[in-house]
Amino acid sequence: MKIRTRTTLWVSLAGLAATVVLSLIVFFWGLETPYEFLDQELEIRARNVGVELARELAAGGGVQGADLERFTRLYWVRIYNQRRQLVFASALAEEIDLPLPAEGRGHLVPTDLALNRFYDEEGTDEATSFWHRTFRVPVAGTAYLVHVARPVESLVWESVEAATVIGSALLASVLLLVVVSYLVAGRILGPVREINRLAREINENTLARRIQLAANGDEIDELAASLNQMFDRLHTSFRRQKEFVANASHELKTPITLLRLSLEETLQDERLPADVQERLLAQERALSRMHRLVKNLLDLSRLELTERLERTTFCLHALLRQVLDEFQVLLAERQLTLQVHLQGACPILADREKIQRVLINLVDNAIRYNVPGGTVTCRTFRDSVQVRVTITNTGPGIAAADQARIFDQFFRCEQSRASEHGGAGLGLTIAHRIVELHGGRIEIDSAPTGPTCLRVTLPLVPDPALDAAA
Amino acid sequence: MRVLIIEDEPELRAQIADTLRQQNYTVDTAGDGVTGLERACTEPYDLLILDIMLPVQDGFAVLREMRAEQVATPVLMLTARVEVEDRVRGLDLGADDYLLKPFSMAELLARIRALLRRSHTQASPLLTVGDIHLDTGTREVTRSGRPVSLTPKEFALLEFLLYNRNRAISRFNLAEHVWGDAFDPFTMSNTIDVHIRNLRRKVDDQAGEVIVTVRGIGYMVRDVQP
Repeated sequence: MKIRTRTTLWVSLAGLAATVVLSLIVFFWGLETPYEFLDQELEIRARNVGVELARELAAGGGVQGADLERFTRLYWVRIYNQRRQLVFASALAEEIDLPLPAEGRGHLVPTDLALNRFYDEEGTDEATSFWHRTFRVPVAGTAYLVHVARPVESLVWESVEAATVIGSALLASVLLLVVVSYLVAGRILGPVREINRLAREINENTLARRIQLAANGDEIDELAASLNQMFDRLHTSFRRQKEFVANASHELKTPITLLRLSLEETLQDERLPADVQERLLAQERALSRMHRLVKNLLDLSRLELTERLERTTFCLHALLRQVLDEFQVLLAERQLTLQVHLQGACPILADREKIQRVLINLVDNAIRYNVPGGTVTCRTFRDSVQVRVTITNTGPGIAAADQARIFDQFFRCEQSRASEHGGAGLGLTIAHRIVELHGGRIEIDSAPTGPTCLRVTLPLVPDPALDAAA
Repeated sequence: MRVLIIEDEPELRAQIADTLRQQNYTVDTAGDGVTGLERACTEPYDLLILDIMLPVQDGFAVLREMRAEQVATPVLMLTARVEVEDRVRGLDLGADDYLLKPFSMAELLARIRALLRRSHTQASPLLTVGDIHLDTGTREVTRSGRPVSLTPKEFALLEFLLYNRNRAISRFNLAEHVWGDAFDPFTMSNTIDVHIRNLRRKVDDQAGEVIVTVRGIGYMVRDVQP
């Protein structure tokens, strides 16, 4: 399960538990409160009855009841003396009987009286319950027992209403919690997604990219900073490795050039014995190969140390024709048929020398790995955003397993290694890097029985000069 | 003849490169001093065109360092500065000639030809062997006074061989100077043979009298004894 979902779930559950506890407390407290008020009301009433009783007794003539009756109109009141003899009952108390409750706090007692007798607006059929309680009230030195009751509305509906309100508030708060925690979790995890995306995209050639820091000093920011430091170290060591190759090939080139010059100078001597000349020539060939290899290595490491592109506008078709022209001799020698499908002009803004190199490497490749009597086909496709060059050869084809590695340094397929095609296996790597620098891509498409097609796709870069002219 | 242009203004660079390519020169370009120096020190060039005002490393520094590396390639420097001191400084650092910006392409080409002559101790703009004349100025080849039509590559091959007459030039070297380093010299070796064959058919019908095959090495233009 994703952290975001999990966080949302946990926060919501914790929030739900807290609000449920709070709601229960509020609910039950809310249920008790009205009865406490009733108790207080009855107590005050009983005490007032006591005072009134004392006034009547003090006036002499025993309990008259007339004033008490007026005084207790809306209440059910019975007064007993210490011998448990009823000394007074209010009008309501004459009408219905309520059992004497145990002393202490009040109780609810149901009766048959219709509720609408007391409360006009209430439902008609409902029976009335009474809240009643007894109090010992001292009057003129003797303790009277006052039994007081008052009709109460049923609190069931209020409870249901309170429960409904609390329930919906609970639902709303849970929804709010889910939404807020989901958003907050998303916000917290946003940088993590960003880190993940970059980590997935980063490779040998995009090591210069870094995670954007939020600079808020939180844990994720710290993680991002650590990752960036790791990228720095990786970048440095990759760079150092490439610089080493560049430096090494640069250093190698000077002595090789000197050796070649001196060998060439020696070979100018026509008096050399034939066998010595043979051996010197073999050395010269080996040296030339080495020279070429070192040069390619140097070029490749220059390209990988992100050489800048020198873009100019030129016609891709003209360049391709020019390149193909240089290979005419080779094509004829291997009895290869050349098919060229280029229509009109194809101006692009790119590094002419580097693109020329790509085309040369691809055509060279298509000739080198072709079968005698085969065909080399060149095509271009252009739309508004990109231009694609395909160079197809009818060679023996490349196994699927090898296709992925064809652009790797020094990689040569088994069959090509066996048949001594020459080349150091850097041509396609160099082409790949140049195309990459142009923001394009190079792909291979081959069946084990051939043909093999190399596709170069270059994005079209708008030329401000051409646009201005148009 | 292979020329390296070190110039940071893309338009001027492209313009010079195009002009030189039309004249059958093999052209490489560099847009800054560091790349330029790197190329100049590791590739065999017949001439360098070097702008003095460059980013990162200026032309003076490039000159000083390449001469310190014993690279003797003739250098034509381009400068917008009119001060005599600057020109003197450039020449003293090892430049062979200078051209004040702005310049005409015709003058640039003339200076390039003059420098190439000088570096090959060639007095006349006419490269001559036997009855074959190659006019470096008009880019025309005549044989016994009759014009010979050559393809650009044939012209470039002949020009390079004539400048380096009496030296056996390996196919590898020919590929480097006439085709540039984008082509694999090993793949080009047969191509060179075919071009030489065609060239001989046009300028040298007693095959091997003028353009001599040096066994195992390559080719050489030998002065014909009258």
